[in-house]
Amino acid sequence: MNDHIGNSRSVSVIGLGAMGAGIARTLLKAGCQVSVWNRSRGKVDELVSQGAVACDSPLDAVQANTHVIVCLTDYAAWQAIIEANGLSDCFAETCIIQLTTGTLETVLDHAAFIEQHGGRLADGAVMCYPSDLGTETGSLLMAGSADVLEECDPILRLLASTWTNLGEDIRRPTILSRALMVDVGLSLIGIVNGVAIAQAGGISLDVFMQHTRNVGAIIPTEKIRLIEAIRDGNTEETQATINAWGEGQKAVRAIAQSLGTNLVFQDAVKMVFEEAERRGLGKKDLAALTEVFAGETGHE
Amino acid sequence: MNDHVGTSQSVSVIGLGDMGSSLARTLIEAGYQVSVWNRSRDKVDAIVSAGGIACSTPKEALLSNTHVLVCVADYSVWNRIIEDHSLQNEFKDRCLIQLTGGTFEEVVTHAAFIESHGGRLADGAIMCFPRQLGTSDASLLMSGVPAVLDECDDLLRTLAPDWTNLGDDVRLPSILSRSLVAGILTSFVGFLNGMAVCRAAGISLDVYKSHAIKANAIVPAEKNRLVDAVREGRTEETQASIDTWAGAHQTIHAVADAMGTNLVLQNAVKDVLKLGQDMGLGDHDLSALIKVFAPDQAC
Repeated sequence: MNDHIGNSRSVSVIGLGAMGAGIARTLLKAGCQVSVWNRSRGKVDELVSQGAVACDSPLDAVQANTHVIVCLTDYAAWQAIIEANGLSDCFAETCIIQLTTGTLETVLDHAAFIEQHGGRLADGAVMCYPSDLGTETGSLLMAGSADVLEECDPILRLLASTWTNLGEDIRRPTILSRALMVDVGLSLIGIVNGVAIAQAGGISLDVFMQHTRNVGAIIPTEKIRLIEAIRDGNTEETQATINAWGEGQKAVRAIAQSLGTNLVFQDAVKMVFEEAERRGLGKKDLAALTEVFAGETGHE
Repeated sequence: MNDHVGTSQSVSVIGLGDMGSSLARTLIEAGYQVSVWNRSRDKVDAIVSAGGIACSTPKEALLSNTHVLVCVADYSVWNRIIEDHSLQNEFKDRCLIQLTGGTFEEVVTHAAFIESHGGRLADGAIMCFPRQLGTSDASLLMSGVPAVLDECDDLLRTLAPDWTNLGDDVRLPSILSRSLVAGILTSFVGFLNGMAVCRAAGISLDVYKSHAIKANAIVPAEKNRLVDAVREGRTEETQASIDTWAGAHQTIHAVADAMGTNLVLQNAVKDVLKLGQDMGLGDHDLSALIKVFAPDQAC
């Protein structure tokens, strides 16, 4: 069963949620031998029917291959598995590719723990849907020491051909992926909010969508402009000041209120603009809102 | 000065903020004779040097041309101009193209006011940046009776070749533009928030930029999918459920907290996702959040 130990084309995957199963399936399709373990057996059987090797315990999975991908709901789940199965002393010579999402503290604690137990660690964050893995839209942010990342490269490439090396600071995949999720999450939930307002106001969703597409066309360029304005310290020059957007925000809130849709986003955005006004940023470009978000550092 | 009164190539613009100034410039560049008024005179001078004609009062602007564009900060400003300059009896036979943003109480009240004073009204909302006016990227949402919109068509085309006719419900430009701004604003604000988190961690803005571009690449298709899912009532099937988003969001909140950045947006997202979960939508698609945002269903 384990004749591929040490071969980089042989990998274990612990955790077969939507992402873990996507990872295992992508590696199988790429020709890897994949040993899998999951708490509930149903997910394992599904992968076995696609060519994976079933492991009866996480210990089995850790011992089956040098390279072990871990992709669980959170670090608490991983800690529980380590404790319940006495894995602590089995990491020597193992290279963990940790794709579980955590907080900065849990990521740092885990890195120290693996190092202390003689293991190697590449810590990462998957920044795409399971179905994007193995395609050119696959996105994987990784951190770890240079030699470990190099060792993992053949596997990482199969998941995301242009995976990103963020260097040794093990916290960075978590920080960057969370920061990107703030952006994407708000864009997506914001559009659902917009749909609710349009629907409540009797606007057909076809018309709404057509205009969302029109308006959406400016968003990528505008985001690049915003980031460059901040990078270059040029947040004074603008075609639409924070005050102008603030008026827009008030109008959005008034309409949403008249139509009776949930105002939690409008209230949050309102607070952001009020803080900007308090800081005297009204005449600057929207990019200057970065000072509101920077919190403490914004005063320096 | 006013020998073009009544021709469609002659128009007045009241209000020369960034948008009003750009409206005036776009029309001047297209060959219109444009008479302008603004509360502060320096904006007027800038447009005059670009070929506009100065009006010393709003009444003069209103009387100079049949077609009058109004683009001021809000309706209370416009109402004050009407009162201070006794304009109420000057709207007869005027065609007002009202591009000031307002609540729909204001929009509806204003429409009734103009009608009762014998004027014609096209009410609209500009959905683009000033610099996009007059280009194919311009977007203008209009409402009004067909005859009035037809009468304004040349002018509107000059500003936005593909202006949108939303019919005669005068509230619709406000509603559509606000619902679109709701989406854009959260997107921009979220982007700036994400950037602040990266900066606090010393991740270079160029790295953030390249990944933000990549991450944003899925957004248009994903927005389409979300809107389609809502329209077709298919909000259950998903690759990333509300529970998944809520789990991810906990880590976002924790990271932002650890970095010391402002948490107001993270708190709002947390509330929205929690409301979705409380409504039993945890294993549904993100599009099911429509039930959280929608009026009645939310209770």
